[in-house]
Amino acid sequence: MTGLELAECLSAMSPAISFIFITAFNNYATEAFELNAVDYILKPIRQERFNKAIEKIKREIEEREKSFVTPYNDVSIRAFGKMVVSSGDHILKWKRQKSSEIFAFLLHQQGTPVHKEKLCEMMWPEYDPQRALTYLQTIMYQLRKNISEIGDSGIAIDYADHCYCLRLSGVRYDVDRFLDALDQAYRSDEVSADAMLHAEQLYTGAYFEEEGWIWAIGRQQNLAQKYLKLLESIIRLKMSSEDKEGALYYIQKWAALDVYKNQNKYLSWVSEHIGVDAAKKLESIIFDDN
Amino acid sequence: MLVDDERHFIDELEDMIKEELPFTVLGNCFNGIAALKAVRDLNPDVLITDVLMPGMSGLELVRKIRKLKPDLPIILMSDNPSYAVNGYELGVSGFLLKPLAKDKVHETLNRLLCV
Repeated sequence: MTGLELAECLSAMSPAISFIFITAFNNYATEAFELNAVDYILKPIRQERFNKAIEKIKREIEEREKSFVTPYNDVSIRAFGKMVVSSGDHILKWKRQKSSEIFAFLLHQQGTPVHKEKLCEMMWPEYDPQRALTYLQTIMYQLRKNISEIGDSGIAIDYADHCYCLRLSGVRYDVDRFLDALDQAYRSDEVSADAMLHAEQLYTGAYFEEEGWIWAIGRQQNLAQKYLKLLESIIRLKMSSEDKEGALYYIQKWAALDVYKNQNKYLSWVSEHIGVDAAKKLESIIFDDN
Repeated sequence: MLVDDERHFIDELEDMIKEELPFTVLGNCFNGIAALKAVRDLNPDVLITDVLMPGMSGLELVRKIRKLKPDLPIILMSDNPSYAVNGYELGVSGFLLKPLAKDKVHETLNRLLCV
């Protein structure tokens, strides 16, 4: 095995590893660049030149460490509203729009592997397949590198049998947490108010609302329906426990969702229990966009 | 910013970049002296330069730029692979072999975006 082959194997295993090549030949330097080697030193090695390489690698490691201030833990993924992947205070910056979409699509598959050709077709339907595949590989390379920025994050992209698959372990993902809380809220015979309010807080917007991805629409509607149902349960609960302010707060949230169901019921309840002014205000929220 | 004394290489490279990558080509120069001035004026994020050019060579250009902007990412390109070693000596971020291959250009530039 040559050093170049070794480097290739190792970087596939651990993308964060850095290399320096040492050789008596000057004709492998282009390959070294391709493998993203930090340096390439010609034999015989001069001390001065070697020190320079060490400095270089030190700088690179420092810079990499700078980019993740809070390492390795508390990784969370948000899909409600705008997609955000973060580790503590550090928010992952997507280098390209396509890489965030591919990440989101793999997330959307909930652990089911996706064939590379399917990904290509979806992302670049107008490109010839070979070219699309090159782009996909570049983006996957980037994406993995991107993810390794936040350290051993519990997020991994596996590749096997021509399929990519996103694996999460110990990552807080808001959609899962929302569904779990819902489960908890409705499981017991007695409706759990705490779990309901917890689920409500997790829904910070429609599923991938700000991204506008067509493939997400089905689940977006499904989750929105669940949320709507949840809001109505909370409103009923608040109304029955005479918590007027609480009820109004959730009725307003409900009204902003632009649904025309139960509106008269809520309007008359608000005008009866809170006041005509509040009802008028609510009415204007409901009919605002028209 | 792109530097090459042969116009067709610049055109080719510009097309490859425009097509897919989130970069804007700020300017093109056909020799090292003009490039040195342009680096000062345009303050590019990345510079791609040919090695063999009349007047000032690409290597000399890199040496001069290093004094001016030590951290500017530079990519060398040449039809002679042995210049890649010089690239490492000068601490450049990438090396592109001519004739240029589109996926190599994209990969190299993408990598710069990742760092």
